[in-house]
Amino acid sequence: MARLPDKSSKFLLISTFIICLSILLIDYRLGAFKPVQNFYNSSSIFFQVFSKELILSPIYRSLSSIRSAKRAMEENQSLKQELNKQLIENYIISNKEVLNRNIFFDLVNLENIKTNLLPAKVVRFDVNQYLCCDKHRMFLLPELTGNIDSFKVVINREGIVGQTIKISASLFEVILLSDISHKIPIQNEDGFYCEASGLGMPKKIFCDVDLTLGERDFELNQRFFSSGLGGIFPKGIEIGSIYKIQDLSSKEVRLIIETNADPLSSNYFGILQ
Amino acid sequence: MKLSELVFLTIIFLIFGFIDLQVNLFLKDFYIVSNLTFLFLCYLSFRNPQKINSLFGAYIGFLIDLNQNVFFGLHATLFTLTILVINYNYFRLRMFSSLQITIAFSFFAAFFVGFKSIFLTTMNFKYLVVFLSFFSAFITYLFLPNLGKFLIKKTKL
Repeated sequence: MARLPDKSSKFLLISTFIICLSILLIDYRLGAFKPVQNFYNSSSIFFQVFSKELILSPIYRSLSSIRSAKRAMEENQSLKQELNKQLIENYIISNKEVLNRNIFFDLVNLENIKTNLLPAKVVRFDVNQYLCCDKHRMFLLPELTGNIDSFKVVINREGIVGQTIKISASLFEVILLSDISHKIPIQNEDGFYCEASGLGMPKKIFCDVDLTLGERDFELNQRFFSSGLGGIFPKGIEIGSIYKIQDLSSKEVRLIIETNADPLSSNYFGILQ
Repeated sequence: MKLSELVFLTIIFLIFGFIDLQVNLFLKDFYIVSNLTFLFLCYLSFRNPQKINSLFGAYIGFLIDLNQNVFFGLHATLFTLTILVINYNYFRLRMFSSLQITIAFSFFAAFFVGFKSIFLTTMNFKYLVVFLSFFSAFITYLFLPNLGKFLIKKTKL
């Protein structure tokens, strides 16, 4: 038996390790500690926002001696925000028909259906985790008061980014298309349907295609659209195009699709209500 | 361990965690992962195994798990396992030269990176990352003992 340094308890060492391992397995299999992480995230975001708005900003403002420079900066900031909002609205306007054409909607009254857009701002986005790992999430704070439920579509000026997961009334998490546990039903122009999963790499989703089910022609840069199946994403929105075709076996290929929307491109997002 | 020492070490570990995240952003393209936090824990555990016990490792691990929003218990498990291995091989490691200790801890770091990758990048696991992390850990640990000595100079660790 190995000799331990003085005062070290073998029981303590082993039991702590076993407890930690059990906690890890329970969280990995069942996600049992998600509420704890949500509580920690929402508290730390609240603390960040609170300290920024009520402590740091007033100190910064009081220390800022050049008023005109400050005003110009604020104006610049607000113009940037307005521009971002405007770009999202432009996206909505240019895609209004397809955004409204959800499979559950009445196609006859298309013009009467209004697309409600709730602007929201990023409060936390772990870019490191987005670039390195499978979990692609961000936290948004709505600009207006409104009850945001789970499974709402999140867009930016380039297209669909992901969908919401409600945490509290004023904070929600967004699961991005490229997150490994996210799935989106898509189709191409030839009527090929598949359920694309997140690849765990930035802007990448994938579809595994069984070639024994029929002859399929795929080529690079072939465009894919949301199919509207599942009832969450509106039908006909361009999601992205084929980036790479991998042969998994003689009877199966993997289509890697690069999404149009880059979540890093702006701090403002819109939630389709 | 005194409460002041615990708070001090907690802050240091959180800062190292933050530095790791920032550095990893730049090193990602080179398939290298920075492991400053892990190596610092190895250094402290080897320096003072009585005070840096598995409970401390679990505490720091859980804190990093929460902070980095990864599976709860991932860092805690790996930290306690590392402390357990260091404790079980303490007298063997004491006989090692500095270079041998650096190589041993670099192996631990490579295992740490590999195990973490299995959980966090299941779809995109790369052996190259694990392999190169060994070298990055080796280089980091050449400087870390000096930094560690400087940081905990005023504590009794």
